[in-house]
Amino acid sequence: MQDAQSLYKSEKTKRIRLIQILSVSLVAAFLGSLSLGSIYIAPIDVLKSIGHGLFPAWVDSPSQVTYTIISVVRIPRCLLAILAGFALGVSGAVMQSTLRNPLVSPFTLGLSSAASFGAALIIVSGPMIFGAFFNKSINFGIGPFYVSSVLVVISAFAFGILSMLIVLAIGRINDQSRSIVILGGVIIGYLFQAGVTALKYISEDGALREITIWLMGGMWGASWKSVLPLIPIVLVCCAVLYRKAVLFNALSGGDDVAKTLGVDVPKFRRDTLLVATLCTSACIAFTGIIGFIGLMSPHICRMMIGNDQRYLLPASTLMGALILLISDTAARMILAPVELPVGVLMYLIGGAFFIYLITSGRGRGME
Amino acid sequence: MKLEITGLNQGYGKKEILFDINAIADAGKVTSILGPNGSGKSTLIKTVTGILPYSVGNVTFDGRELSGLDLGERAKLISYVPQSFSYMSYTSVMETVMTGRTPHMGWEPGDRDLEAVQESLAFMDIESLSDLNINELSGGQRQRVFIARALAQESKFMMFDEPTSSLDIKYQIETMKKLHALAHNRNIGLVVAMHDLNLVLRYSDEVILLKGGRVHSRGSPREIISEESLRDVYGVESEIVEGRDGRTYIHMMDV
Repeated sequence: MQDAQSLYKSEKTKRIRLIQILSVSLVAAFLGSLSLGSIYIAPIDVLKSIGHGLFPAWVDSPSQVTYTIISVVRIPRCLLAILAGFALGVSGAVMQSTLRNPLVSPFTLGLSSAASFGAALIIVSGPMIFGAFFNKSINFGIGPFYVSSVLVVISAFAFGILSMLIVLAIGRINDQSRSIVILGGVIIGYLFQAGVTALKYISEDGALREITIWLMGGMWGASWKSVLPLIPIVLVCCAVLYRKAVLFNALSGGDDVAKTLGVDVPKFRRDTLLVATLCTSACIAFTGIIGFIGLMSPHICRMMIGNDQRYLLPASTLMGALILLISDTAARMILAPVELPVGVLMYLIGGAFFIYLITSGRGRGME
Repeated sequence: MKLEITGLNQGYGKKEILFDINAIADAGKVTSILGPNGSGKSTLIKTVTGILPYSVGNVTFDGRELSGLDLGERAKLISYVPQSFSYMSYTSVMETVMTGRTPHMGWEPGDRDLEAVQESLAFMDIESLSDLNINELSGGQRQRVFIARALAQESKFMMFDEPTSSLDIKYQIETMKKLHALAHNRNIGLVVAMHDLNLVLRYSDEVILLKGGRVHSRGSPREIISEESLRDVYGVESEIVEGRDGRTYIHMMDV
């Protein structure tokens, strides 16, 4: 029998090891993803391209075409997959912990449906509201932006945040009790889903296609212009949530116990859900709907290292990025040069994973 | 240290539960709250822990109003063991007990935090379970883990809502014996909502008997638990008998 001190140390070592393994795997997957695609680029040329991009005076570019593929197409795409994976992984873990429900994710809380509605609303009504301006491109000094794409991103983001604000407003009637928040999320999700269906019904063929593609989710929108603003948003949100990890642990014993441990539960729940929503909405505004990662990453990590949020949150963040990056690379490869929407692939992987989890008995601890 | 409740009213929305409660609980003593289902025991416990805010009456700890304490200060003063357990799967026993250190520790537990966890596990005799997940335990084992979590909090007062409800008779006696010793040896104030009158008679120093949200009577267990009071409050016919060990026991007869 181990005493608390040595048990704590051995558990901590195990958890840090998983985070290290995930970090190394993510770097490896990142480099692998850069080299794989419809055109294969040798790893040494990938490294040279990265080196040339960072230190142009010291490292020669392999060839202009290779350098362009790597720096303009693949790096932003892989970074978008990583950032979206970070956001979905950490948000799923945070939502499950703060609401103490293993089935909660950005999906079940209505956020994805609301973002879909935001995107569909602009795709359908944008040309009517903005006229010719909608299809123009404008230049903010860092290259051209299509007005339509910018508005879709802004609208998806805004509706994502709006849905959580509505859920939290509903939650206020009972001190943000978790059942009210979860129920509120599910209801809001259905309402926005009804809105998306209605918009699809009245949309023209072109808009319908655009909505369908957006709903499938993918890294098509990746560019440095989309990745750069996401980096600080996602990293700051992750840091803010990691700092609260001990309070997430306190909440695991229930709202009443957490209150007697010094946690202002309604405020904590509201704040952490808003931060998780902020980073998820920002990412899915660019990628479209990508399901299952927010649900799957925390579960996989929880089975491996337990529920201590100080380690579960970073592990789930990294796991989300790793799964999405590998899936996105597979989506590019499976039917190359045709690209599968990664969202579709995620449903397949996620569904298979959960069936395995339940039938293998490994999910027995999921109560 | 003294917990003093004066003129306390409490309710949920428009439904009033507690009316004009006046009571005292001292450090170093076990104060039991007795009463039938719906008499307001849990509500009273949740009010004096600060879980339920109150607007009428006063709850003071050595003269300091509970509602005026900040959350961190309150967490060092009062711990709580609920009637029903809430937990996340894949959380180990040690981690559950360690959450009791939340008011004391930063992001990383220090040596004192781990010592307190160890002591609490040992006190509740669950050291051998410390690396198991909480969802792998029996109801009784879980109850002991939650008591250990409250012990690790090292508060001046501990509030229990039916701490022996999931325990078998051996652990009921053992747990109450330990809690009684804890109160007396470490000068901790224990406030315990209970149903088992024989355990109350044996391990309580003071009793608050509730009926319909009001204090029916309060005093020492022997004074308060009588055939008349049980008939009046519970509607139960009983007999107070002396056991072979010289202690007093309640024998329930009929309703």
